[in-house]
Amino acid sequence: MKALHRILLLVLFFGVILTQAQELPPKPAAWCNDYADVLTPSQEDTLNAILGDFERRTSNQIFIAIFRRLPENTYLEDFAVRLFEQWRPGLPDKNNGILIVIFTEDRKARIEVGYGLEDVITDLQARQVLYNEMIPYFKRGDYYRGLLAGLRVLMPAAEGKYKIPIAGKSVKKKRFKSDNPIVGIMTIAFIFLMLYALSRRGRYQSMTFGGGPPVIWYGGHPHHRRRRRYDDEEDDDDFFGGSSGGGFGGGFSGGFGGLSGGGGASGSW
Amino acid sequence: MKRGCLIGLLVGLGLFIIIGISVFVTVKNYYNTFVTLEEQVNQAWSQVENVYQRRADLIPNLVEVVKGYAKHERETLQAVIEARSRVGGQVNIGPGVLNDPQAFARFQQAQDALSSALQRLMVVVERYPELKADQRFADLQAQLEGTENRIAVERRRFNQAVQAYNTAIRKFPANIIAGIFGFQPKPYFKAQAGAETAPKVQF
Repeated sequence: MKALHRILLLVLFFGVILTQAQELPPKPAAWCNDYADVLTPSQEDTLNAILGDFERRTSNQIFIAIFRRLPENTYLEDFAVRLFEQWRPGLPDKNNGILIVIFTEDRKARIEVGYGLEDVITDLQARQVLYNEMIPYFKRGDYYRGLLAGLRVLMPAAEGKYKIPIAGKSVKKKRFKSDNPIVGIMTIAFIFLMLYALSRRGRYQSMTFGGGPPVIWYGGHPHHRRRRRYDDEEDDDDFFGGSSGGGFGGGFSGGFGGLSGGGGASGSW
Repeated sequence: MKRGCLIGLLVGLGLFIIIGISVFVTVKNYYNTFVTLEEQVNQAWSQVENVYQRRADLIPNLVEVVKGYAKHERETLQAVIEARSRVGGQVNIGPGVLNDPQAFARFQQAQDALSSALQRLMVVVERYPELKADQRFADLQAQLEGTENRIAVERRRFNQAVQAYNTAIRKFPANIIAGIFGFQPKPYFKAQAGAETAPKVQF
């Protein structure tokens, strides 16, 4: 139960200081990522096969990250949630991802649960999985068996909620071009109207315009693009276009995928 | 002569329209960006409120369980109950509090006071092995632990959202447009004042 004290203390004492960006590994291509070299290649392949198949069947995405040590100036819970933000397991609209982080030399691990799975894998359940299934193996240095044992419980729990098979991989990042055409149309219509009125007036006043067609002057529709940056968020703005409202997640890491709100459980051995 | 005059008038009008449209579109884009960012701040705020509410909801049960074992810790328990009741009137006050720095400070103060009171309680209960052995207490403690972690996460996200918003409305020339439409900077969560002098707790 020391974790609670640690969190309380850290929240109280450091508040929000611990927000500076640490070097986090970029989003990986595989489900299982062993940066500590404690799994054999065939064990990694097996875990990847299990988790890959699980994702294709149910759309739930489970990532595993094994490190040696926690970086300086951070603590397990903080690291886990920021790695979650970086890797974004799960679908953006379902947040059905799980991240399992292990620090072999610190002898600590955490199951970080995405928002969407918080009700089927509560903190208590995550804690039980960690302490009853995984840590007994971790104590012996058998991370592979520990992970398998944990996944045996976590996967059916997650599957109980989301059983949506998906064809390919998760949604790719899309750039929304929700340009609002009404303003453009109205402006052009306005210009036409003005020109038309002007040309009519011209016709009355003099014959210089003759019966010729009204000058179609296509002002105000240059196909020119402009880039403006608001910190991390960049919007492509058409001249007439509205700025596209990036999702809430956009401000954090840009990647598309699920988010977690700190749900899950930590353990040490 | 008249033809030249008319063309001049047309060009002038055209220029006027172009400038008008440019100004309109610029203002519109800035405005909409502010609205988007402000909405993200509000969304982050509602998450902050959720997790604080979650914690407040846990406390009556926690107090009840602790009471059964730790009869001599009346003072510590009372502090938690009082801090909880002060927080009670503070949660779910809506994003309006974000435009009132003083109300925001009060909110943070009340929540931080509850954090301190809880922390003291959690130190005290270490003295009661029977309490720690109680499954209900272990469950509550695990939930509280998870909730404190969620609070830390949502506070950080809230601060990030506020930072994005505040930066956007303070940049030039955005600040002019923000000023015209009354977009005010929003307050951050700060590390607790006087935290560095808080009593050290040994684990």
